[in-house]
Amino acid sequence: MFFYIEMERDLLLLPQHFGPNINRYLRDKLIEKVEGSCSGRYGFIICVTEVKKIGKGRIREGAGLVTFPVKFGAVVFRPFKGEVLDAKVTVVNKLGFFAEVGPLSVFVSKYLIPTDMRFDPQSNPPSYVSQVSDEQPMRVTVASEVRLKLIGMRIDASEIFAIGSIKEDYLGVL
Amino acid sequence: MQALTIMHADDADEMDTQLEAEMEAALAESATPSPPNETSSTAAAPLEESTPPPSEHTRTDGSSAVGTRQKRPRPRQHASGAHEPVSPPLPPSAAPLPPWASASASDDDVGYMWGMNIVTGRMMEEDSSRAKPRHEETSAAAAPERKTLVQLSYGSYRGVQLSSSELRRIKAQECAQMLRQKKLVLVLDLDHTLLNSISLHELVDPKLQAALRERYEQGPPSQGREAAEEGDASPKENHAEAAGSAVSTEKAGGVEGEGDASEAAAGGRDPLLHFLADIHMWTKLRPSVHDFLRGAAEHFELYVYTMGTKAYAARMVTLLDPHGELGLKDADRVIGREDSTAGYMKGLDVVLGSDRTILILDDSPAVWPNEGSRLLVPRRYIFFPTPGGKHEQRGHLMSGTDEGEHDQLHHLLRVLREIHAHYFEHLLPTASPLHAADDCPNVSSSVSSVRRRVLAGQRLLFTHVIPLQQQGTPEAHAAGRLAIELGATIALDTSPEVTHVVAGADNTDKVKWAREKGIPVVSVEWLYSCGYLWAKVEEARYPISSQTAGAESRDFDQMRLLPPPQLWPQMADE
Repeated sequence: MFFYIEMERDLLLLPQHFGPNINRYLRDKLIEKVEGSCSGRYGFIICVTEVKKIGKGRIREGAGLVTFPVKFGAVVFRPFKGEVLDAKVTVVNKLGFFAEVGPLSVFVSKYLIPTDMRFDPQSNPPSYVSQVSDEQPMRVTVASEVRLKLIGMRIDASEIFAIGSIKEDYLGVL
Repeated sequence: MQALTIMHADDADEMDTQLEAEMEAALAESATPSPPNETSSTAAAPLEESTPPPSEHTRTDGSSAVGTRQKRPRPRQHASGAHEPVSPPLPPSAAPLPPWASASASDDDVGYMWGMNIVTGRMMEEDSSRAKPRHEETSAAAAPERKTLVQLSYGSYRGVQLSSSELRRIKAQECAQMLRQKKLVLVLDLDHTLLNSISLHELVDPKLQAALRERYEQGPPSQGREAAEEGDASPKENHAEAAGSAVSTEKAGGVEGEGDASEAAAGGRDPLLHFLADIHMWTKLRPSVHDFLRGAAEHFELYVYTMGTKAYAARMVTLLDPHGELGLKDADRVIGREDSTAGYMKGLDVVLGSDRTILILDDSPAVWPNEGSRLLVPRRYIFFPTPGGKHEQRGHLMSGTDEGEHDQLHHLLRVLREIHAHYFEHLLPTASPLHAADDCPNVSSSVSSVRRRVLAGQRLLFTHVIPLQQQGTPEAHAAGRLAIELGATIALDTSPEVTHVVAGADNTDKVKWAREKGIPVVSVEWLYSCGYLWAKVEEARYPISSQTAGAESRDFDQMRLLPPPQLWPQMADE
């Protein structure tokens, strides 16, 4: 799920950047530092939309560096257990397949793929196919788009991994 | 604007666990009848729709999934029926799983990805804490059970941990599927089996560098003359250039070497010799390796398992399988040293194929401690000289030779086809039907029977080969064992049935006797060659060699025929 939240980060700035452009430096540094990063608490930070407030800098003793507390608003992507998402398949193997929801990697094991979809090692790249005699076979392969449901997540301090399922109503190849 | 609160997620989790407990009880009632049937999954369906706690839902599916495979084709499950109304019948030959696979397929023992159970999505720690109260009295036994997870780290399997029961299940399914396709599995070693590599920093000898350069520019010795005639101008130019400093030509060679292999062949150079500037190596592919691999891929699913690093293995695969037709470029079948579960050893546990259908081709039997006759040992291919040590070898490069087109790999391909044919024509039909995947016949017995054909009907008489104290039991000696393995019988004394006299020295009584009778007298090398090439090789090419030379090479060969020591650190040098 996407959220818009306000966060605060401390930014370190070298004395060489002190000057008329200090605000721009801080903004650039903030974007560079947080966009695309992932925190276990907030999820993936997709985009910094605005810098709300730059607090008073504190000089680090003995170093000359200055720490600025920066308040900003950002769009974050925080996956939840039970959430249904559209994903792009990246790797297919005998055990299941991997898919990406933007920055999030999801593994769908073969136990969570409908039982009529079978692994087809002959195809290149490998795929899971459901053989229906009279129809075009449904195929999950690299670059397929699938709708999946997250059933388990591991949230570390700076990483999120998920286990997904396509074995439910309205899930599967799009 | 909506602030993110983690509390919410936690609350939901609590609810989940409560619900889970309720549902578990409900499901236990409906699912206890052993074949999970339509009623059990429809009973679960309304529950799913109201509030689906993810883990629980999949739990029901997990158990019925096994049921489906085990039972006749049945209507597609409610859960996945959104797209097609008609249920696809399973292939008629779909092998039902052996009983242990269905009965014990609890979610806990499947495997983990990123520390999460791949069926329920629960964290590993959560699982183990759950497991404890369940078998309280056996908690001591449960702890080591956790440790039987096999970590896969190659290809796209990186990071997966599979329980041994799941691994067994996969191997069984894999076996059934391969047998349907009439394929077996072949695990290939790289170094000294399919190719020989040397890194630049080992290439210090100027004589060696010169020989290498010449070989690179003029092609293998057999074609060397033609090549020189064909493109007489350009090779000479190169040659003049090559006279410059060693380092600079090395670099020049490197740039050329990166060119297309076909281009190299057209230039009359040795198409099997490659300079790999990116990994600072020269690699020589064994003659006819491409024919061998192509032929083998028809009947086998190929894996590469090397003691080299994965990066090296991947690079070698681009040479062996440049167009990806062997399926090796698919990195899931290339296993390097880092992936092995035991240091300095290779193990089949990480190969996702049934052990019973795997053949191994490796020149170092020592790294496969328990594989017996499924291991085919080719003659060690040494192109680049191996420096120092007791087993210093000149290699084909320095002797200016190479294996012929119809040498080791050619014979091995024939043998692999024979084994394949034997397995599918003789062994499989006589065994119990396919569905017993856990007791599908073992390919080792095919290997043994094909191997027994090699010298079948021959009766060998050893002289000066087997030490006196072992003469009563020739099978105790490596040569004797090999002879029996190849289907020959061993005569203990002169008799009219003797077809060959295998002599370790000239002018023994038995040799004299054989010459009188016109029976071929051969050196032990002959026997070993028969063993390597899986054929009764021409006797005339193996006369009794002079004492010293024969003894030396024999020692080397014998050492490799002997049962391997438990750990042989030298093998790590690959």
